[in-house]
Amino acid sequence: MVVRGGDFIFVSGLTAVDLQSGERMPGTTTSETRQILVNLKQLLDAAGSSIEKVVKVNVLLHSMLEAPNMNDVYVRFFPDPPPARTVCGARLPDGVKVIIECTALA
Amino acid sequence: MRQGLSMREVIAAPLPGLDLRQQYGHHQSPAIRAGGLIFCSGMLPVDPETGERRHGTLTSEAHVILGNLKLLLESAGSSLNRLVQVHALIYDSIEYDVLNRVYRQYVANGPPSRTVWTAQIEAGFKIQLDVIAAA
Repeated sequence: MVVRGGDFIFVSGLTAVDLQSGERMPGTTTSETRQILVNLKQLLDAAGSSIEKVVKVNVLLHSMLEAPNMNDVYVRFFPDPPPARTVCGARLPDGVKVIIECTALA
Repeated sequence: MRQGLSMREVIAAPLPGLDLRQQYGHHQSPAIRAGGLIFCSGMLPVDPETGERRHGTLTSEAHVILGNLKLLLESAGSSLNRLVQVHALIYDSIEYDVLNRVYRQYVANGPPSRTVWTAQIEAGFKIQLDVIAAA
């Protein structure tokens, strides 16, 4: 899920799961985004990086109509100024509404 | 850990229209320089001066995007010649060939690695470019 290479840490596309049990936590775009970012924060910290060291984020949404809902939650997790980001709509597996992947400095 | 390289540096928009955070509330910086690379936020066809959306054909949108990308990268001391990876998101794979015709005009020799796929792009745009360049 998290790989270190060179000066960077690459995090796989995350979906909304309980990190302890691994169980899926399907919900709204808002709730899935929140769960993913809570997990992302924890994974980055565990890898010796942090949310402040994120340089690029890719967000995949099941519908671009949900982009504002994602953004509203996203704003609360990332520092000011925020990392670079790309958001797009895509067909996601298993009814997942949000996938977020990122690259951070190690 | 080499401290110098573990810094994250924000690249400001060279023109006000390219600041999508200011223009549209997207929580993102135009680009970030880190570890010898420049990571750009998804580039969209907006007027670089005003931020107004420039909807059009895939060709016209690609021209606007590549022009904006040139501005952004050059303001950061990089250039289109220093692109290392390009993700081209297009609304329909039928336009793949159309994309290539424009792309070639901007990214000529020794082109960067590239992946093209179809996706839903914000505001009904036909193309978005997501790139990494050498700093």
